[in-house]
Amino acid sequence: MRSLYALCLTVMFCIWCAPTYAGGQVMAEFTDERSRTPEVLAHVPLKAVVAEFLDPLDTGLGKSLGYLLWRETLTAISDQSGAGVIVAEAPPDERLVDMLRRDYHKAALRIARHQRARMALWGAVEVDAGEVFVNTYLSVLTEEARGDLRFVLDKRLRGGPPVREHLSANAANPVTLEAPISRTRFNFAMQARSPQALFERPVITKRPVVIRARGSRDSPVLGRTSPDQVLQAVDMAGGWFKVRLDDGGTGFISAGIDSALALPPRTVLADRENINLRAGPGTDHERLRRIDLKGSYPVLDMRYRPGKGLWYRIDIDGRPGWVAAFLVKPRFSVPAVHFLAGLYRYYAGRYDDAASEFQRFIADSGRSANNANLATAYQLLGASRLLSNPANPGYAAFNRAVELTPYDPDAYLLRGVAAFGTRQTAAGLKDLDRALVLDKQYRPARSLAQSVRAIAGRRDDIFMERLTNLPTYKRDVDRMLEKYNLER
Amino acid sequence: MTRVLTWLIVLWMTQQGLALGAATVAGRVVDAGSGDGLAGVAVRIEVSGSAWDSSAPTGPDGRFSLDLTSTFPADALDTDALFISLNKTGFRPVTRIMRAQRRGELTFTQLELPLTRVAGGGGLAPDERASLEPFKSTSGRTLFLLPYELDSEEAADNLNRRLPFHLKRGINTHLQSLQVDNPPEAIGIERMPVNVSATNTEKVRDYGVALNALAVVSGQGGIAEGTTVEVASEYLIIPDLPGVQLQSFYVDDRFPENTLRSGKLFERLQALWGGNTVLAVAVLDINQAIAARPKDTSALQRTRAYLLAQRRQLGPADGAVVAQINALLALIDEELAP
Repeated sequence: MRSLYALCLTVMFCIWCAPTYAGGQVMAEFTDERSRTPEVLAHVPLKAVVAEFLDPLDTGLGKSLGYLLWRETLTAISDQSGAGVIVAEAPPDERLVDMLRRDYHKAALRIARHQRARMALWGAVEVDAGEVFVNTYLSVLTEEARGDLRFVLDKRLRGGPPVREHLSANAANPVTLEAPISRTRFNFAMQARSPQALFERPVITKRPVVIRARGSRDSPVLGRTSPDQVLQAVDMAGGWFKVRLDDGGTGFISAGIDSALALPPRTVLADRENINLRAGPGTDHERLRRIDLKGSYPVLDMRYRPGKGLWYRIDIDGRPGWVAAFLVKPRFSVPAVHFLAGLYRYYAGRYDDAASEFQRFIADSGRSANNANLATAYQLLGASRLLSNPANPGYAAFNRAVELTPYDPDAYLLRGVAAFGTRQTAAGLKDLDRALVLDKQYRPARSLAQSVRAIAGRRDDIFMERLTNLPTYKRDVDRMLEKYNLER
Repeated sequence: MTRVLTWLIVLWMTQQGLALGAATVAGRVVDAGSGDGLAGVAVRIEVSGSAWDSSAPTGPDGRFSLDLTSTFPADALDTDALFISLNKTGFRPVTRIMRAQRRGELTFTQLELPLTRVAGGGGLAPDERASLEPFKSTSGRTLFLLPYELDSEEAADNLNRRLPFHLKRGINTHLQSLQVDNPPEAIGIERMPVNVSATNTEKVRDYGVALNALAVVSGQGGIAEGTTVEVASEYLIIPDLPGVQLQSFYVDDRFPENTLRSGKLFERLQALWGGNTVLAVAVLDINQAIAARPKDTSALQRTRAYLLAQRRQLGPADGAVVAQINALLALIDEELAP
């Protein structure tokens, strides 16, 4: 019966095209490789799926985490056009998680592939002695060339999939130097959080939202919110936020697509001096005072105003004020959201923003992260820095990746390409040699070696010859090729 | 002013000295079968990628001791864990990963470290072997799980209730995360069908062999000092590979008693479970590929690929595991050589 295994699920989706949501709901069906579900957000070129989390003890937290991280991802990419995020949830009688529980990354990729999404975020959650343990996973689809992550050096530094149109006009057969960022399945370190740290937070209604007595659609209606109302969530139950009401009681609002909500980050981080703190969300509001913002600040409210951008109302030692969002950095519940947001930025060529997200991932992962994940984050950070500005210190990030995973040829290849791009030719050749020592059959290493030889021995691709200075090292290059039987 | 500064520096150095002076590793290596002290065991201690090899092996009572502060630079001791590798001819080599409760607290005294004889145990009685027949793994890709034994029954129940889910997820997501076209197949997890104490390593191995197991996972622990809980986890690879002596890996975790949570423990164990499963599957696949007629070179290539993928994920402190992988890679290259 396994081959006939079928799972119905409700896919709910939403894309934020600030300042409004566009969304809808479809029924989806997976039958192993086949599916009859229409693609959601078909017009959106870059999207991810967030799936309900595995919840072995059936605490209801699996659904809560799925919705929470979906909404946080929405917030994280709220300023990026052409980007969307889908939340996948099973209908009441079905269990999407059964598929994930059986096939893990493979199931996540199946869901992503079906929705033509490039990434799938999923996980597992459990509670022990009042503490919530969250395991997050990220599966990146690379079957299409556009899903590849690589670092390319040709006429200019480039990230993302190979694009040939920018190559040097001088060369009849232009050569690129490139290295893959090949890790695509991430098992992020478990994060321990208190329920308060995850769920106690402001929730903002964009339109009137129904408040119910319990977290269920057939539960009595207690009332409706007004639009643009800030509610204080105190907990989550399944796909519902439990919110504090004006009368001191509590009620429930749906966390799904049927509720027009915005979910600000719980805190923002800042390291700036002389910031204008305003009485409202925009420069047209009175300036309360100028202050130095250094540290972490709880977010009380979040507003987007056309022409004025995104603003946060933050609590500074009990004195609230509004600050422009670009002056601070949001901090999300788990580092995986920052990593995912970094990939969105990287794919879109927004390298400054990507670097900021990978940096946040690294800082929040701390010592709990495994070496491979951290190394990939450093590789993406290094590539983002160099791609945003070749004078940036991206090389240091590639160094760190090598320190973390000294047996990974990719770490050396990436640093090598960065070295060639900054005229550290001898260092680049040394890294290429090290990658081949680790695995002389490794295709990307052999391919890079061939490209290096092509540039070193030619006289028609003036740009690459000057950029890398490789012709000066032709003898060293030939020796290396001979050593690894790469002459042809 | 100078006097105050000097005084402050002296005070700081004294504090550092006090803190680091506590960094000691001492214990006794014993024969897992008899419990007797084992003489002539080579001891290697690794901290932050630097290694110390005992100039003389353990004495007649199996004891050894090392003051880390006089052996390793101070910055090397600013770490979470150290590795103790034990080697003696005729016994299975062992690496224990001793994890500190807090960073830099690397004092482990009164350690008792058992070594198992390579040909120990003597196998099982025929009727005992027959009773295990219905539970035997047909593919050899089943991992058998012994419940954790902890001083606190409640804590043990809590851990054991959650263990299969985490173990299966931890191992299979790890295998899937290897960047290769053909990662190893998914591993089955079963509970050990017999009661045996994890401390009886020889017997555990005998049961593992009789069950055609890929590995046996177990753990034990209890209050170590005051309110500190120590949990030792073991991953015993069952298949043998002629010419390569695989190590047994143990991880010793320390927690304040009131913060021992299943999540914390399982997170720390994922690397042990995932990485060792790759080694265990590699041993199985190499054995099968070599035994095939003609030799299955494509299986050897596939095994080579996922071993390299596993090595790529390792860090500078994973020297012991890298050595194991390199030994397997060398064997594969030898088999693949024309």
